[in-house]
Amino acid sequence: MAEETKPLKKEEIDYTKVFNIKVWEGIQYKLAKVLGVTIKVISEDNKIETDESNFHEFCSLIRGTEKGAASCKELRVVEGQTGAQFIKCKSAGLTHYCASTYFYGKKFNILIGIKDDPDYDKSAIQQISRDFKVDREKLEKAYKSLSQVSEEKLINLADLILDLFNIVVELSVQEFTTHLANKEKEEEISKMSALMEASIVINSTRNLQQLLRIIMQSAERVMQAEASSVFLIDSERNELYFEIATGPKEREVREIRLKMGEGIAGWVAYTGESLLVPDVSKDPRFARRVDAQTHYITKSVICVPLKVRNQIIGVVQVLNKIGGTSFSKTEIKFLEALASQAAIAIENTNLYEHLEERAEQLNKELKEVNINLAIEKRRIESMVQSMQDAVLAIDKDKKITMLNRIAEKIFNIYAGDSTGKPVSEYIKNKEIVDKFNMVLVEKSSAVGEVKFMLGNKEHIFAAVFAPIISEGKEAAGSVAVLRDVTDIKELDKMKSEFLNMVSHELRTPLTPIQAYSELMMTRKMEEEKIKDYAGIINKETQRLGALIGDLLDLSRVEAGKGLSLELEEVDPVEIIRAVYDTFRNSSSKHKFILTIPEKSEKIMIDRNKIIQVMTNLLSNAVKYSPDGGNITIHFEDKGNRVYISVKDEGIGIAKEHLDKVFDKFYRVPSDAIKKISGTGIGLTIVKYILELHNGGIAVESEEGKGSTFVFYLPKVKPI
Amino acid sequence: MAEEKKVVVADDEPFILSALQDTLSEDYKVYTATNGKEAIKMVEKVMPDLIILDVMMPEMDGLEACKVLKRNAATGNIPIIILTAKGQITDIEKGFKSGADAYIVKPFSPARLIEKVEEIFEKVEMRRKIQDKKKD
Repeated sequence: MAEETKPLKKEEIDYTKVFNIKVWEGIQYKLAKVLGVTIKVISEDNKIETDESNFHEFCSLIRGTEKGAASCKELRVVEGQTGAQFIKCKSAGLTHYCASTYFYGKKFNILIGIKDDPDYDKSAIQQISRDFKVDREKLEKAYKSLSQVSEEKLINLADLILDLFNIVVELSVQEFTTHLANKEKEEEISKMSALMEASIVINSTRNLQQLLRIIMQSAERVMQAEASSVFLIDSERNELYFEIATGPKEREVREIRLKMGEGIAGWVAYTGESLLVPDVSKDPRFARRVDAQTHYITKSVICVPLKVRNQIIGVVQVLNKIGGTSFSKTEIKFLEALASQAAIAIENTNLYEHLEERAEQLNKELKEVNINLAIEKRRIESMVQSMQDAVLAIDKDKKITMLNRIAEKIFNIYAGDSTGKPVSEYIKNKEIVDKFNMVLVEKSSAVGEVKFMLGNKEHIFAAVFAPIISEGKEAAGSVAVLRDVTDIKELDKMKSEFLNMVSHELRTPLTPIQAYSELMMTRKMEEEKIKDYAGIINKETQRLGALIGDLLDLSRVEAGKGLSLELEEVDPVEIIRAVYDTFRNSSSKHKFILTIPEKSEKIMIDRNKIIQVMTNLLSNAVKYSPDGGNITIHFEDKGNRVYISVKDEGIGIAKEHLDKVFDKFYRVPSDAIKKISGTGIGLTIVKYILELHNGGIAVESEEGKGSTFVFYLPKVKPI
Repeated sequence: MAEEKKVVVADDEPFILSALQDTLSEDYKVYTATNGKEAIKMVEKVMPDLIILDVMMPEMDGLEACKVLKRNAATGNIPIIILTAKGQITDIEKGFKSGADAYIVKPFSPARLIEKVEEIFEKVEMRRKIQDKKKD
């Protein structure tokens, strides 16, 4: 800043502003009064002219008139004449001494009056009296009192006054310089505060546009510029565009793009050097098209590069100093400082925007993930809830975290009560708790069978225990899935029993067939015996055929193909009799009793299939009453149905097995039954045949006392 | 010719029972029973040389009857053939565990049955001869 305190150059000084005329006029007044002279200062260009300090009665008489006042003011130096001179005033013709001094190249004339004038006579006073219409006597009297100074004295006084004038002038200049310096200091302070303001703004807002605008406005204010703009480089197109433009042509300017190197902004962006152009009309780099497009007249420009980490990203430009003067070089520095603040702002904002964008994106992604997770969670939850298997999960502290509906049911606990509680408190089955512990420790799955009582029946569960492995490879918990396989196990058991039974049932008739046919082949025997044997073989073959027929029926029912009915008009009583005939002599231990009418109305039924039903029920009655007894067949015609029942006095069926006797392969698990061969498919087929007829079957029984099977058929009439 | 050998056969299936009877009655005196209990009674009554028992019978099955007979000092030495439709290894095991001497699976060939029966009688005869020699 030392640069700014050096003496001002002449041409830089507006002496009209610098010269403190009031001070001088005060001094001039006092000098005139004390010294008894008149004093007046006039600059050579007449821009500065003091009042004449004059205390002479004579002069004041003349000036008291309008004409005189005007005339007195016409006291002028003779132009072109150098050096000291004597001038006569136009009004009274009094002689003044004129001395000159220079003030920063401007000439100031100091007129000092009045010289001794021996030639001044009464005729001249007469003339004045006439010209200015002033009383002559008064004029003459005043003239006599007019103190006239000798020429020599006047010249000496002029030197003194000139010195004083010069002192005042110097003081004025000094005062002005001080004032200017102060003004510069103030400007400096305002620049500094603008920079401070900019740095505060940078930290206070993240809106780049707003930020740059504030910075540029403070630049304009401090630099007293008309307009300013920030250009950024569009590196893809190698062009400059207006990021911010302030000033009168803000809107028009924004549509303009400059090529790299084009115009002053382009040059600065290209070279990276700051530039002050005091008069753009004299600079070939100036792009006139911008002014033409915006109807703006650019006069002076300061343009500095905008650098972010040594890379030029744009330029900052300030246009036209208000008041028509140019920008100073010191202002380049200020603008550079401001530009670096703007660059920080841009970088910060970019960084911030980038971070914000990234954060927003992450946030969005997170939200999406959360939504997806929530959906996934709901889906899994509803899947788990709707599963037919029990699901029970615990955390690493062995506290229950989740259980589904089935788990609630089989463990007889509620999710609401048990969640968050130790599993061992709620699950009494030690095996399950131990398996959970094991899986947590081993961190590997375990499978197995778990048995526990449900109600009063032991159920078997196929259980899978799996660890929930978190990212850290620690077991975050464990989940157990338990499937009730009791029925499957039972079915499996029934199936293998059935296979055994079928195998037995098939071999039983085969045994006499093989034995007798071999005997017939190997032994000589009488024809009668051969007939007997052949009869046995034939019967047993039929029995085998019936059994195979049953199996086929079952497999058809099983395969969903069903059985087809061949309906015909049949009297069911007739069927009962026919079946009874085949049975009545088959066992010596049993007595068959019929409680049936002579005949009944004919209904639409499949004769052979109903025979199959009756045969099955009667053979069961025989089979399951090994000690013999009565077998009663009853017929009843009731409403739209006919009811037929077969009652025996055999081993009976325990209550808990009653509802299962019609299930396929099911055989009552008792020692008494095990000794009686059977496949467990007969009643299944019976039930199926009756259902095909839209009929049905039921059983009543008491263990040890016998069973009664009652079936009914609808009385369907032929159409 | 020595005294005709006695065989007790038990089966709940009448035609199997008659087939056994018809097969064996040419060479042996055959007594029949239709369940385990009957068979034991019959054995105790006639003290046969051989017993043939079906496994699956009402009242008392063949394996149970076999055990009872083998535990009884009077009948324990009578060879027993178990005759069953069940061919499973578990049943054969059960058959031998109950003390049975031989096992025949249904359906059987009469010739094979006779062979088996004769085989058992030969073994019994040899054992008797050895015991007689020891006595000497």
